Amino acid sequence: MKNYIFPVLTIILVVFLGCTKTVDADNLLDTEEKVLIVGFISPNDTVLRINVTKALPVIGTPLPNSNLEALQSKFRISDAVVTLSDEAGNSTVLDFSDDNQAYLADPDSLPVITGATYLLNVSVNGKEFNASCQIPEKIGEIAHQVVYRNDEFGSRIAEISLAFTDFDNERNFYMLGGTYSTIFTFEDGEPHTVEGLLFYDANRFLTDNIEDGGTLSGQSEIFIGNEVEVDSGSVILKVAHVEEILFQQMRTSDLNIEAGDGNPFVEYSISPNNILDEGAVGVFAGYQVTEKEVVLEVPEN
Amino acid sequence: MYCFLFFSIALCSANETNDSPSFCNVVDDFIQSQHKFTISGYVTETGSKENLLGVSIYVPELKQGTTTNDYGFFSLTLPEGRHTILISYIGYATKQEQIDLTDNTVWAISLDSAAESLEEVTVTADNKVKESKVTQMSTVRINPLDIQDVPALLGEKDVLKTLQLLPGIQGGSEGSSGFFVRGGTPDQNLIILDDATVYNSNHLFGFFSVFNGDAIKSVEAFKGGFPARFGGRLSSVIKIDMKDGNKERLSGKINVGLISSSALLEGPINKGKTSFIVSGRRTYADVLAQPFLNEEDGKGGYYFADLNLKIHHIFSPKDKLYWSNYYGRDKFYSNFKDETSNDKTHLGWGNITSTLRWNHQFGSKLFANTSAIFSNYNFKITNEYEEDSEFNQETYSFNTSSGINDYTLKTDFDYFPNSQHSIRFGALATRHNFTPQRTLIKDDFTGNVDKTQELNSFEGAVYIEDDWKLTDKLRVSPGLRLSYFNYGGKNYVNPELRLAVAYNVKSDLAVKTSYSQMNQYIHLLSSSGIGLPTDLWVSSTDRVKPQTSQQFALGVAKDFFDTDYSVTLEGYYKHMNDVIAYKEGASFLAIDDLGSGKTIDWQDNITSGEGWAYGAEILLRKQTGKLTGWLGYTLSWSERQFDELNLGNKFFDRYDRRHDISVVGIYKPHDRVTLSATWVLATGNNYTLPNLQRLNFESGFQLRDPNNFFNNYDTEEFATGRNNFRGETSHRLDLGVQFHKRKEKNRERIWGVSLYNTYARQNPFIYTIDEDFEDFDDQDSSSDIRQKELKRTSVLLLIPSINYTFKF
Repeated sequence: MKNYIFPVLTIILVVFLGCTKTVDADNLLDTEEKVLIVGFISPNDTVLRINVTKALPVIGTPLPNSNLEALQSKFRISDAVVTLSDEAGNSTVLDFSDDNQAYLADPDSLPVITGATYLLNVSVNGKEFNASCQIPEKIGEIAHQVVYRNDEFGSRIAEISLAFTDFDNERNFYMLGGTYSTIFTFEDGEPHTVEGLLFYDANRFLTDNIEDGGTLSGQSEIFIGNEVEVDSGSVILKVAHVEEILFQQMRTSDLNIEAGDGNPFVEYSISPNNILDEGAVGVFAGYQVTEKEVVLEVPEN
Repeated sequence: MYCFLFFSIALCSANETNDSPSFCNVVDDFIQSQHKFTISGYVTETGSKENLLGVSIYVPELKQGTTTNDYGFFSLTLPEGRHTILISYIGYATKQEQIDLTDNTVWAISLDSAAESLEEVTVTADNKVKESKVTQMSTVRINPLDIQDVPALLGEKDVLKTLQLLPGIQGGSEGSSGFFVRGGTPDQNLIILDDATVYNSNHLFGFFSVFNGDAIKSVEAFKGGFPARFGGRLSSVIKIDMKDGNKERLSGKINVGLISSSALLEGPINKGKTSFIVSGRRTYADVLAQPFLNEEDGKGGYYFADLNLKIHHIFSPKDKLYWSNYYGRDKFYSNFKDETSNDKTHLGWGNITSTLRWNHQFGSKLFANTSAIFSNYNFKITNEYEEDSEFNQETYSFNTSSGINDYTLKTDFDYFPNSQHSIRFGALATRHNFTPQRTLIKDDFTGNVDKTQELNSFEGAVYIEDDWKLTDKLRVSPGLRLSYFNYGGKNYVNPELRLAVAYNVKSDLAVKTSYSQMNQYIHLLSSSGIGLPTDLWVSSTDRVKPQTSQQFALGVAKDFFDTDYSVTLEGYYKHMNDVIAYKEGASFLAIDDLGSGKTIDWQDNITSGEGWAYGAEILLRKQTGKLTGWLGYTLSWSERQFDELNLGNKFFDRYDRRHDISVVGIYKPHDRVTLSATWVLATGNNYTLPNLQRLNFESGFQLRDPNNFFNNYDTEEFATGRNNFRGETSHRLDLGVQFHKRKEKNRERIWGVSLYNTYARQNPFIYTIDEDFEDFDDQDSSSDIRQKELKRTSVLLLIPSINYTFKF
């Protein structure tokens, strides 16, 4: 039933002699180029990473269509000075990496600690941009349940549920994620590994606005196989306790995919911004991930 | 206080012929000190006995007068002696009566329609209800004949689109009948049809309104300075009254148009006592399209239909009963069937209202109306899928519905103690039964779901207001409304002050000011703002506070008696608190994904904030003569601030419209032709469009987004501000002509031709951003460039229409 009414409305509009034309946006959507700063830090990061690029006007900016290097160069800022520091005065300078197209530093140069506040300073062409973040606590234990079933096509499906307890007396924001890995042996006798990301749909974003300190849960499912037998399988469940602005950033990005598909009934969401100075937009935020590995014990068909 | 006042007045009114000294005399003495008598009665239309509301009853030598109430009743207390009384009403011949007042007198006055009057319609200075003569400001009344004469889209005469041509009342998107009053939102408009609230006023996703113009007697719009008898919404009250039905003879009207036909029949059931009126309308695009549809592609269609039915019975001159009913439905249906499967989908939505009203007259000074009202809005989707194939046997059905049922008891009193005071007081009690969502899923595989969310709340109010003529120059209309709302264990009690003051600098020039406090306990959650059926009515709860507003207005009203022009100029400032909106990206039920609301509690998706609206309006109007019409101009601002929207920054509302101009002209050179034209110009609406784009880089966040896995080869657009883009200015000229031919026995046929958007202006309906690829075929990838463009979609370009009407 999805996308069912939209075509009907479109037909109605066409009946009413609709027409579409390109319009000059110069006087309507006037936007200047900005610096975009994005950085999410966590105590278990293997590298400290801050992205500093250009944000270019949507309308009227020609972009290379299939040349990735040319596309990256349009947005690249490689001469920024990026400094991360804590409140105690410790700091580290992140260097631009051509391979990653981002500014990187070893996490040992500035340990990221739960509850601590971090300050970001980015200098681009003499202009200074600042932001700060705080690292949320790690959640407690993740409870899980796996239920196996066959779908209408006979495929084996594992339904994975997870639950955890919210922190009391504060607004909290969480995101769910994870990976799965299953190993099959086909007729050729060779084991094959299939890996992927867990989908949570609407459950991917959770808050405690319904009940403070209650239990929050999410569900995902993975396709295991149909005729073949599974040798082994495992799932890594991940729950990120994130700062509100990181939550908003990810959710906005997710929602805008639909708006970007040209659906006139979905408005663009506003991208959050915690860069304090004019001329730059972006999000600098902290988070903390809790993981749990679950071995799949797939019953025989 | 309310009960004391009612019983005192009722007792006095019932015993007013009794000469014995009593408490009643004390009350009367308090109000009037010299010997006076009261003329009371009803004003009706000659030929149909239709009660006329808002008729002026005026005594020039005393400079005193009154107007008929909503049921055509009037009461005027004058000194003993001979008086000349003028009875006048726009569209009717003015009547002059002489009276030697020596006792309380009951009058039954009938007015001849100007079109049917043999006498010349005299325009007498000072006699009609003039802008400079009424205390009320920010109010406009539309003559139903204007609605019939103004050119309309596809010939569908539309009350709400006619209202949009008045200053301060703005339309939404091109062609939409949704409207925004003084920077408010559509849910802040209280639309009442014969006392019943109409929750969804749109057909066809907002292109047409639900009100069938044939059955309407009067339309009155209050934009500010609200009388205390109205409440429950922040921005406007649109009061629509249906005709009562012809009590003298059977008459009717048949209208055949391009997309719909309508019929009206009215007449006496018991001559002079009981009358009925029934009118219906249905679109038939679905029926006409059937022969052209390919059977293999399945069947589908859309239609809307309305039915109005009203019965009026006169028990006695003092007791009258009215039973008004409205039923309206939009329906979209499809049925796709092949050898192994059958997929049926139905979408239906509509209103049902029913009002039973009893008028009772307590003596000559006190008039009461008591109403029992039912109002319903329901939106329903059903989808049934059956498959019986070699690979799959499946039965699935999905039903979801949302709606509201209101049960209201209401009583209103009009008390006319003397010619200085016109007092109204009353009370109402409404039980709201909201069903934000009821979902039934029958699925062979996943099992069945039966989930209903209900909100039951109670809304009540008592009010009192007075239109008090302090001196010949100064009139004051104070009012107080005490509103009450209960949801679960949460009670809201709010006093609402109302005040309107008018001072006549000259006899034809008045300075007016008003202040009103309003509370709104029910809200519409709308993700689109264009009046879709998926928009959801919900109640205030313990978590969702009532919306509140305060509005100040200041203006001048000037009448030009010799030419019958009037001009009003008003400025207003409105502050709104706790207005609600969806959070960023949130929506209860997306129109394109009807299953999307299954698991979401609406309260989690909304946020509240503040709103400011201010501006100025000017209306130059001519209501009599061969050329009638108006020129309206609005200069306005409308802003919002929500902590959880737009990063907490203030932003302009989507329908913040800096300039809005409308010109309406109706010219009747003689009784065989009516020419009409409207021209409108409006600053563009605000939209949220992405203004910046970024490279879709790896952010390092440890939970990768499964929906955006391959993210290194594209860009992502984003918006840095809500409503960051103002669309282009719209303007449009509509033309209409009607050819009348009167025949014997009051028969008349009318051919109407209209042109909507005559010069085919491509006004914006929506804006989108599309990608344009240059040198796509060029093998040299370095010149393979893409660039995003702003696209404007326009609808309704030069729509001609023709319709035929036969009256009998």
